[in-house]
Amino acid sequence: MIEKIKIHTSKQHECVNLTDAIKAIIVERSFKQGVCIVYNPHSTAGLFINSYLDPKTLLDIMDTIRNLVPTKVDYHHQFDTPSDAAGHIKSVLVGNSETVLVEDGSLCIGGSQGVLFAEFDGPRDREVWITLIHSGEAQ
Amino acid sequence: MALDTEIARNQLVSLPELYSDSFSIIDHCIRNTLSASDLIGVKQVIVVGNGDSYFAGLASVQTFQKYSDVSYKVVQSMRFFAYEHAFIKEYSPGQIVVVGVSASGESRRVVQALSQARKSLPAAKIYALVGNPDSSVSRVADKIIDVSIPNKGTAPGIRSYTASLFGLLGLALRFGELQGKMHLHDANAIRSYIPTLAPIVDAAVIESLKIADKILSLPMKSVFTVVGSGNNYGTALFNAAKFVEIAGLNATGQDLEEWLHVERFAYPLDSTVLVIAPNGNGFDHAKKLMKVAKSIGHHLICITDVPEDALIKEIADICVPVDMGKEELFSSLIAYIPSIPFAIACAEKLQRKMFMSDNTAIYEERQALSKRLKEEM
Repeated sequence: MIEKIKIHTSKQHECVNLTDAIKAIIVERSFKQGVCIVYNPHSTAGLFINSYLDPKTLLDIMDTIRNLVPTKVDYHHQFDTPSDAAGHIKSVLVGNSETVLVEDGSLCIGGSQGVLFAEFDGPRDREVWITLIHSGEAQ
Repeated sequence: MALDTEIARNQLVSLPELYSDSFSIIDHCIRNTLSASDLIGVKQVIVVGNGDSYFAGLASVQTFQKYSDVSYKVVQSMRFFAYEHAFIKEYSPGQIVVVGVSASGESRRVVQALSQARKSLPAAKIYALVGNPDSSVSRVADKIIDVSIPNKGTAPGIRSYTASLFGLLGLALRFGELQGKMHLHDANAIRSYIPTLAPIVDAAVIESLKIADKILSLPMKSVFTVVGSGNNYGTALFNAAKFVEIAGLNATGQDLEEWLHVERFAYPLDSTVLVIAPNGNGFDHAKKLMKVAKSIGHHLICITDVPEDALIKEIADICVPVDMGKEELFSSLIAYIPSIPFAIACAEKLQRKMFMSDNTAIYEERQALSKRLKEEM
């Protein structure tokens, strides 16, 4: 079964911390052990795991991605907008999914880490898909 | 050859498929033709055209104001090349786009306007918004916005007017999304919305054909005035033109508020005023006009999406209830429909063919004029 987390981004570039929402799904499903797959179905957004404790870290990440992939008018993909064309490239660089281990009903990630949704062409209504796969051991 | 009203009727009943099929094709053409580098620095769009093309430009003013970030003006072709071109200031290259609108692509005046723009505004971009990409207007343009649609007879231009509206809407959205006035996602939502108007258009066609004969109870030999506000000022001019072309009636279009300032002092007082009154910013003014017009003896036809309004119910001789879409801005994509069956009904009652094509007394003069215009090309 796939669970969906709905997100409304409010800026062109924005990070949204999904960690608490993912934890809530794990608790709701009484899921104890296995893997949690988080998938972003949008091609101008990304998904990554990193530190969220200091918000300025996320600003640095997003600023760097923006500098690496400038919004410019001469992309081959002209059918949409320059922001959309740049968003596709940013999405590829960041990636679209994460797999996280779950042990005793908890996400196995570092203490400062979170699962973060990266908006590269907002503001938009977005969603992220989650599935939980048991490891085969007793629940 | 006498042009039968059946052509107009056929064009009318074929409109729903234009909405369901053609808007997306036209929009894709615009998106494939005009890129960010073409539009991102543009500050002013000047639409030049004549007749229905000019009216389509006027029926798109609010569309450009809402969706794009450009200053938008509509000028009759002749006025542009004879007068206005000399007074348009160019500041930086590529900041002005002159769009020549011509359904046939063969309008001599539009060619002249674009050619004059090329001379007077050497840094401006020249686009052709045409129903025929292999045409005289296209040949004098830098880029072609192809709004060609399946041919179901050219006159009286009901389908080609719709295609011009589609092209201008698509252009406004393209400016909006590339200049950052609106998000691609929001532009795409409007793009997806237009084809869903097909059943609404179908219902408007059916309803207006059903009640068209009611107009025969009103005097037909005096002046017809069609009034509208916002984008529907353009609709009013287009509808008046259809009363002229289809039924040979002496009809004029006017802005709602201007009618209250000017035409309300004109005879004959038993003439018919057709009011386009969608719910929105101009609705109260439309009702004010109807009250005044009725009080001095005019007959009233009201095209509205608020047929339950007490005043309209009380004073309109004929009310055409039509769904005008989800907001006033889209009403110009529907409000032009109901007048056409009225014009057809008038023509049939008066036993007239379109464009006075059954009037043999002026046939030779018309032929000579057509020949002269062709030679000018």
